[in-house]
Amino acid sequence: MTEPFSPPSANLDDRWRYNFGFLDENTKRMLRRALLKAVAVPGYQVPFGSREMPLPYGWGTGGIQLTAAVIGHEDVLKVIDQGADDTTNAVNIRRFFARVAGVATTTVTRDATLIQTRHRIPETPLAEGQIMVFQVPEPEPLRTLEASEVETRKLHAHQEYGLMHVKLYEDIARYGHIATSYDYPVMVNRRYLASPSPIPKFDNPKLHRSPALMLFGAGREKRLYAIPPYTEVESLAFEDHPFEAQHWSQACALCGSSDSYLDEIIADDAGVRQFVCSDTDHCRQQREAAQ
Amino acid sequence: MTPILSVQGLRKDYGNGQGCFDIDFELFAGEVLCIVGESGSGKSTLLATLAGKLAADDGSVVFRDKNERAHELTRLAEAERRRLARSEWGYVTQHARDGLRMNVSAGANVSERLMALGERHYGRLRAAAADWLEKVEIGADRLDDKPCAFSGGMQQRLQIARNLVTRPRLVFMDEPTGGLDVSVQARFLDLTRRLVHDNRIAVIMVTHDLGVARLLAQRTLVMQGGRVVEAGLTDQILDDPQHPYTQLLVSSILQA
Amino acid sequence: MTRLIDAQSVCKTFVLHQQDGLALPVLDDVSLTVDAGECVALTGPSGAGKSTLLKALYANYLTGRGRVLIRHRDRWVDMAAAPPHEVADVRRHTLGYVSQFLRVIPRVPALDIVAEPLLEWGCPQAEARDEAAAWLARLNIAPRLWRLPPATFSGGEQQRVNIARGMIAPRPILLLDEPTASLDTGNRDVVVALMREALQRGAALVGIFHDEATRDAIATRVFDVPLARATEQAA
Repeated sequence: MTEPFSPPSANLDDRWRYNFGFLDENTKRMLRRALLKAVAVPGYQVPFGSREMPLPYGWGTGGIQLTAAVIGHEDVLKVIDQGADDTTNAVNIRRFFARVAGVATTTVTRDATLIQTRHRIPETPLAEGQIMVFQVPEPEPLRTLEASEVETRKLHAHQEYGLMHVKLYEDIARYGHIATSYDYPVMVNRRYLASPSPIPKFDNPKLHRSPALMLFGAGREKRLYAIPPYTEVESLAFEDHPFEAQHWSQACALCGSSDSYLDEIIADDAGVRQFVCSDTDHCRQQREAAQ
Repeated sequence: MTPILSVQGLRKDYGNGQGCFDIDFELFAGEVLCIVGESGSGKSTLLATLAGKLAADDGSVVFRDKNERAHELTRLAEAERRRLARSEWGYVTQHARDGLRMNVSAGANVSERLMALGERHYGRLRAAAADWLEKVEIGADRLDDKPCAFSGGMQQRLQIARNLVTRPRLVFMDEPTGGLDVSVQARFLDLTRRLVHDNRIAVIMVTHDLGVARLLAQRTLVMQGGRVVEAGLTDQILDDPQHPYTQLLVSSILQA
Repeated sequence: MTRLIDAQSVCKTFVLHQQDGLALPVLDDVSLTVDAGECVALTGPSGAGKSTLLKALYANYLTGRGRVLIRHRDRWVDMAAAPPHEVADVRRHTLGYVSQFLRVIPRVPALDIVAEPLLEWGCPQAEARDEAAAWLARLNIAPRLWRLPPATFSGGEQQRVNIARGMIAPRPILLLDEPTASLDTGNRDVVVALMREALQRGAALVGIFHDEATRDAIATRVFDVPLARATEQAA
């Protein structure tokens, strides 16, 4: 006889309970070993056995596996998507871990010990002891220029990164400046070229000598890498075209912040445009402080 | 005078009778050497083995770099081989798509090797690229065009610029005129001849065209069945061929 | 006088593999010495091997037995045995060759074709071009042609470009294969004068001159190339 289906919940018997953090212990151990290697060799892409997760590729399967591997009972989890705590992806992943790990969650950057993110680094400066987990669609910064994985691995091994500058050269030749505005390539610890994940280049300087541990997971590509605390992270550039983060002439329409990353939104049916903070937690804090 | 390349007893055996065997020769700075022979004679295998693209089964290849340092290429670590390949050597292929990056501009194609050697000044890179485009008779106004918008002859000339920009000592060329019309070919050969002469670059060129050898090369190796059957000064080999196979090749040249 | 060429017991047999290994002996035990300031005219019936001897001296043809010694940078080089880069060096600096026909290099202007040997000697480009212009002018090539590649020139014009290219670098030895064959009287006299000047600077000349007037005007000695045994044998 087949068992009738009933949704899992905390007070059902043991057969329905997920292992802590969803993944089984052996998978977590495999991931932790890979993460230790990644931390030991900053910026180096470590292959791992990516598992099927209960969400599609491109929705953060890499990030969610890393979070599952490092999360503990005492952790306080924050999940953001494009800086916002309240978008579908962020809400789902936060709820997922609340259910499968039973951990506390928060939207306040300062209160979080573990932050899984898609495409942003919070405006609130990170602190020692905090861990950032980045969702990465394409871990290989050279991929658009060199299709062969065999070749890109050799390029990393021999530290031949002239090719990355070919892309920046093309940007300047075509647009007059380095037009790459997100997923802007970085040199980690003066050794490995790495993708910072599709964060805006506005966030690149936050990677440099950050007190927090940065972990990057690409589920579909089965690669993870790390930037340990206080690691040198340099955004590539030319001598005569130095790295430059985005600037806005506007301030946030909601909180008045002039030094945060702004999203352009259409506010009403008349097509009125507004610039507002992409980091919803930061924006809320600024408004609360002003009151 | 010491040779920049000394090859002794070089062997690459595919195990089915194909490959190249017992290859000996020396190449001096500024010399152009043609390797001629029909398809399957082992000439491309020899070129790829010399350039380290294939691992030799036996023998020795000693290369002397700009600082007169000798490198045994058959035992060279991959990292060192790649360093030599981007600073001291060039490699021009028959098909431009194998030798160029078709999805980036001509300027980026030419300056890539400079970037690989650490040049990080956009203005200087662009100036060098424009200068080399002019040298290979491509207008500097084509700097931002992609190679796929170029004719076959222009693509081959772009390969030359892309390789010579770092002033290598030795350039390997594998049938560089193979796909070109005769008139286009003449322009490519003349240009190559001049640039090689002006920059004192040694060239090893694989071709099945004896006319190309006559025009460009002081020296020629004739290959058949993986072996060098005749070697010497190009004019001597073409005017007084000794080996039956060479005599056949020479008598097969179409007289214009 | 300084001896510049010392060819001893030179033999040359052509083996035609496409004709079942037919062996054609052309030179059999030929010896020739030439001193500085001499002009030796090679004579003999057609097929006797005048051209072959000239080409053997230049290492354009391989010889069977024998030595072909050329005085190069104060030492003797055996052209029959020297490695290719050494032969090339002898040709560049010591041994010039004026062939019957100009081997046309596409797209290169006549001026640059003539200047090239001087450039190979390390002469600055402007100087080499000036000298080339002087030679072309002397050989009556119209200045409007200097900037053009000689592919479209007449036979006589091409031959004069060829002579200028072969003689512009003052090499100690000059080999000439019918240098005046396609020239009119006026230009022939110019070439004879040029050869005389070469002799006066101490060069040794070896040439084939079908035209008797030219031969008489320039040759200091005649060398009759002996016929090889006219046996044709299959190998």
